[in-house]
Amino acid sequence: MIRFSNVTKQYPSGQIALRSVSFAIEPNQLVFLTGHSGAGKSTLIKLITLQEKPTHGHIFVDDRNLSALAGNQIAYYRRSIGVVQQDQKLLFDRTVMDNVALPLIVRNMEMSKIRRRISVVLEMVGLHRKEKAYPINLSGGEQQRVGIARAIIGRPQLIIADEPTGNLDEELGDEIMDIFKLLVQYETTIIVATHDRHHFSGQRFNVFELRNGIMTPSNIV
Amino acid sequence: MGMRSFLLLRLQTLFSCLGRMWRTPFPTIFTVACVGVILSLPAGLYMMSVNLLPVTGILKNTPELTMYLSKNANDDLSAKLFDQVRNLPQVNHVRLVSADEALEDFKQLTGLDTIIQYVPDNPLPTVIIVQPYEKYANPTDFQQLADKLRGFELVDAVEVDLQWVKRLHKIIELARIGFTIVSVLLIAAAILLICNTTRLSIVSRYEEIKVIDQIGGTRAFIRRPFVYIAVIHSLLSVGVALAIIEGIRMFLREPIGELAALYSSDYQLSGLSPLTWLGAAATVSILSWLASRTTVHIYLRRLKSSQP
Repeated sequence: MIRFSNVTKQYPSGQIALRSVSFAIEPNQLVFLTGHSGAGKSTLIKLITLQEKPTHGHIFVDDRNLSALAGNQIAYYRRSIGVVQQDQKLLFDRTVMDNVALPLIVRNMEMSKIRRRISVVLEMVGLHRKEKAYPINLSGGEQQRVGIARAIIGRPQLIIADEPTGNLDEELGDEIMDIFKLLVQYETTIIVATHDRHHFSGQRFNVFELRNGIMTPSNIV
Repeated sequence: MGMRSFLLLRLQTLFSCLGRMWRTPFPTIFTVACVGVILSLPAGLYMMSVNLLPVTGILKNTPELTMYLSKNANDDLSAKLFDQVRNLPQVNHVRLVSADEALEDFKQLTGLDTIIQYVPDNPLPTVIIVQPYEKYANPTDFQQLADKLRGFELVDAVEVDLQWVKRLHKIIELARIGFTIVSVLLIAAAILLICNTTRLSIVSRYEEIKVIDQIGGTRAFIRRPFVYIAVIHSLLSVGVALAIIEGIRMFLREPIGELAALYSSDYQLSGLSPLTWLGAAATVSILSWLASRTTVHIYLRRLKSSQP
């Protein structure tokens, strides 16, 4: 599904975020990416979502070389991934329904189909009574659920979550993680970047750890 | 993408833009009013230039040619020549002033009648005053007509007030060039204002653009609402300019009619035709489309989450 081949990322400031990182993630897995703050987790995610490009090396997603994508190919590639971020990036002047519908609107899907999918997805994340609410009126956990709903509504093959529980208390964080554990049953590959080890400790998940931009070998906890 | 989906997507964007403008009326009203006022100036200047030539027609006694006939031209011969001149295709109006009439006029104008009665013969010639049609009232045609009139028998001299005509035409030509330059500058100002509005709109929707970019919105998808709003603004602005110009025309109709009446003319300030307004709307829309598209293109390149 995802393959990093000797990927190095150096920012224009000279800071090296990733050093010759190579690893592979098989499809339909829930994978944790962990490491201390500044270890390179966010950079790795930005490389997968094509917000940044590698200085050296190649990244393959579904055998597509991301370096070879250009123009609208990048937009179409991004439609195949769902991204959940710590600060959700919700549009506060739109309702929950409008926020969640965005990935389908950019695909020019008919409104009737969009509405049907929204009710299914909001049901899945437990927000089925909140579709007309504005994000400002939702709790932090509910806002994070809206972000997850927006990430999964396009039925992506790959979901990437960058510190999805960073702003939540432990109980709400566990609820969000439960949603990811549920989603992996729908033939989806999920990468969760988190520094909070309690989400995966004592369970059988693939965990990749970054230390100062260097990937440690994959291990099963 | 099928044609139906293609049109549906654009219609959805159009209605979404109209909804956004409806929800935020003040920025829309402000932009449309500003651009409308700016556009009304070149439209007004163009209307003035269209009305300039007819205005010169008010001064219809001025562009004339005066034919001085020889002493041999008696009444019959003068009348025959008068008919010949009247039938020329360039000639609009002809007036025959006999030597006796000219003398009477001279006496009345100068008050020298007591002195003139001692002059044995009438020294004044018979005169034919020729006024060409307006389309021949340019220096070249005027000169050609004068040459033709000089060719008639019994004509001693033809006096042409060509210098005046030349000056008038130069003034009109200069005014038109000035109007064109000012109009181009004002239209450029209107387009720049639309560009700036688009830029501000992009800045205020920066977060939304970043989100859409991240979830797979193409550049065309992101660009479309900004371009649509710019074109809608420009069309509404042309409407405002039309209202302003027609309002001014209505306001000036009566005083201009009264002024024209003083020159014995039924001249009226004419407005711009619907076709002219349609042309203006199309031109401004195309310019706005190009300008907003370029603005969006420039600002999207600055997106942090842009394509690597």
